[in-house]
Amino acid sequence: MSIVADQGTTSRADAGKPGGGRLPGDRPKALSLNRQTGMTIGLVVILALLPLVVGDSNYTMRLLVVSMIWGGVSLAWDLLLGYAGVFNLGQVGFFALGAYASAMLSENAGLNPWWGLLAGAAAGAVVAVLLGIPSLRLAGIYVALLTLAFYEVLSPLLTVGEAIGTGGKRGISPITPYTIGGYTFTGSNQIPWYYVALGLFVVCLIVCYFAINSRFGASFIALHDSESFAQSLGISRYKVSLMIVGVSGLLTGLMGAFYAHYTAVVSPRVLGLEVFIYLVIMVLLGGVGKFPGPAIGAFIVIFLSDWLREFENYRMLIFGALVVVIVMVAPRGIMGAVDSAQQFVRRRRASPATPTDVGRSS
Amino acid sequence: MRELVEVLITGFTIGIVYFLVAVGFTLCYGVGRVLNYSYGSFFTWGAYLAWVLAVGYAELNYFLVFLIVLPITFLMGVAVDRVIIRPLRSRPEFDFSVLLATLGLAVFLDNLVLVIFGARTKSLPEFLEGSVTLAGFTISWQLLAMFIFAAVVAVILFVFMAKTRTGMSMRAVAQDPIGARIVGIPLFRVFAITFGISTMLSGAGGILLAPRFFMTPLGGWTFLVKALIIVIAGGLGSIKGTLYAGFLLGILEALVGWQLGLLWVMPVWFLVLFLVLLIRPAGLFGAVARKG
Amino acid sequence: MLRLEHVTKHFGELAAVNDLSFELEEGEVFGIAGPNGAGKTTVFNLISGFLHGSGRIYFDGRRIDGLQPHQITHLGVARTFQIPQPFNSMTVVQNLRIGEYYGVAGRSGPKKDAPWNDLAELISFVGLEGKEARPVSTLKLYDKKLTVLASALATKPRLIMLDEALGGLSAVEAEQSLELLQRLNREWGLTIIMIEHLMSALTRSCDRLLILNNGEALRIGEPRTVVEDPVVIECLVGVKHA
Repeated sequence: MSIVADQGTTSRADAGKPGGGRLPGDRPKALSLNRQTGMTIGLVVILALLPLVVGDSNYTMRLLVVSMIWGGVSLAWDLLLGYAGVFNLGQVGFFALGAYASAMLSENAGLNPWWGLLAGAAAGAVVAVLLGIPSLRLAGIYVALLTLAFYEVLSPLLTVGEAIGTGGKRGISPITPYTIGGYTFTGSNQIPWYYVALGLFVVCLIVCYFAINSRFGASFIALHDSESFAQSLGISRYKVSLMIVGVSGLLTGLMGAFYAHYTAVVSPRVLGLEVFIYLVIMVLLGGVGKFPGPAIGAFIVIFLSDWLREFENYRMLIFGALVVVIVMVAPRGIMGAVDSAQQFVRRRRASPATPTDVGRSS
Repeated sequence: MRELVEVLITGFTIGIVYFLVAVGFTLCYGVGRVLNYSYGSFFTWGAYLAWVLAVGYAELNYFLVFLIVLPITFLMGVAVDRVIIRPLRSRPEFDFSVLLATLGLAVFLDNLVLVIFGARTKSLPEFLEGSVTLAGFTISWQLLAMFIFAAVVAVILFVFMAKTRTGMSMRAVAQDPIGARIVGIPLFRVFAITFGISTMLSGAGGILLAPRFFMTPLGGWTFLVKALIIVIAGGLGSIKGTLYAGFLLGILEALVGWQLGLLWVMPVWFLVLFLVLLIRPAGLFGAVARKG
Repeated sequence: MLRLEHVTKHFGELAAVNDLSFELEEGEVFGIAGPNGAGKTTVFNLISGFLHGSGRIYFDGRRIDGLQPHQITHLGVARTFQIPQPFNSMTVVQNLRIGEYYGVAGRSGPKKDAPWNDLAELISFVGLEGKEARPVSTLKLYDKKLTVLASALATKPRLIMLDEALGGLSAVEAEQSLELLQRLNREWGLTIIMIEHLMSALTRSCDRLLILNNGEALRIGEPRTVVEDPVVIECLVGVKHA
């Protein structure tokens, strides 16, 4: 028996330092230009410039703001569904709690709405982690069951929570809008709302991007790829899942907080099935585990839903069927289709008689 | 005191219905490895089909209603398994695909009800009116009928599982699908039948509980979640656990509804579930849920 | 170095491992053989924390039964799997980086030393040179096995447990693997436990051999003696003919 290697002082950073530097096949450096980064930057640039074109139409601007809110949430959710393999069905719950936290603090305690963003993010993260503690030790399906139960129970809970200021069934309304240097945001001018929403959306994009393309990201992708192998290499499934659930809850709560002040009303109706299924389609349509696809899915779904507005009840019927069809026919969504198209083009390019330089010259 | 006993009797009766609903859900997972999130929609469909036959378009008696509606919900389940679940079985991410597909299906089925029947709540009349006084306690005939119906269905289910060829095949598949296939059990047929039985149980629950709660197109979700909570608390796949959890939560519901109001039922249920999971992570009778 | 005391694991009524005790010396190559279903992989799962049973397991005098898989890895016990399932969405190097980074605990954890200086050296040692940037999903079985092994080695273990490292390989590949294992032991001083079906490989490379049958230790000792034991022959051959 030898008692070597007991307590040491090597820090993880030292131990993990890639001795001998980078090797071929190492992760591309963060922000190296690939499709993911390109699409992300392109998306942000387009959104930043879009008000120049559609800024006059408050209606379109509103749809864009809502798209960005849900785009951020779908990215945060996809972090769990597509990358970490945590089947959380309570995402809308985190969103609602973020909204309530910010609304309650500003209406009942008189807090400046800007601080509400932090409060909402904190509420989302804390509840997500609290929910993760009992469920993430269990098998994946349990997470889905437990979080769905949480989501369904939240609406009655917020209704009976009237005593602590949730406003009961009717919720909280109106909610104080943001102010900046004496200027108060109003519904008739969407530009300020738009750029705050864009800012928050960019926060979601950046956090998710770095969460995925980092060592931390590698750990939960590893767990998703091959759980036992990942654990045998020293990854704690529980710790990693709990952290990623916290990050996802944080971003979702943040968007919820903004939503409350933007729509000036928050009630248990935000927990309706409609919102939930919209979110499902956004992620599915955009491409599960295909950053930034889910955000693009959000824009499509919001505009599609607006376009289908006259169908009323049939709209949800269509959306329900759409989910089933996407799962069965195109489970990898739009980004999956882009992948296939790219591969097709690559194969076409590779097939000509002179394979060298063909890719570069075109 | 007397009121308490009556509340407990009510709770016990709801408990057995909840057990029926939840056992269908857990059966579907135990045998077919499918967590069916559209389970609540079959509850809704059961109730609405019963309404069509008993109130809306005919006035059949309940016995006939059961005889007609249950086979329909069974066939709906078989169809869903064939059309949606079976093609997904070859997917590497089967669990995830099924989760999303059944969620979508639930929204589709619920909104189909909404489109056909409208958003207004409907109600089924009680099976039997009046009440009986036994040893000083008043029990409504309705409750008694509910209890008897549910008990009969439960007994049939147990006998079916224990004695019939199909029931035994289902148990074999639950224990070892590959082994079952090797000895010649037609796996996909067993999956389909199981799915049908489970949706039929959900539909039966819908008919039994519809006179108690109002029917709405989205009402099934509450019962899906109730089934979920019972199943998790009892231990996924454990019929014994489902039985205890069903009774426990049924009685709890009656007590909470009596003392605090029905709105508090779900929050209290969830709290109980949370506590059960903190103490016994795999549920009261669960065996293999824990992972590293 | 590693000691099992009365380790038992039941699956329902069935005892997959029953009252198993043995001890491993530092630097030893220890083989485990036995018919299918004898509980070999279950023993690995118990040692590496994927399963928990009764009895005690010590590593370096410290009790490790009850620890989680990642904690056991951090102490210096690595393992491979019967069917290699590397991270398919990553390249070979990225697989190894996971082991390199997460295989060592944080500041307060145990310190680990490795016989190699950097991953490039490890890669060339196992023979994956030139395949660093390949997506793992495009590799053939042998290279997948090497990737899993190299990732396990990247956690800087002192004890490595190999679950059928030679299974499914061609004769040439199996020979190369066996040589690699011997070099791990001789040049890097790693202690090895290996589950293997190929008896010739076991007698050639192991210092001691454990024969498991129905979860119990049938024989344990010097390979050649064990293999010639009539009880062992009956157990292994009898099952083969069944």
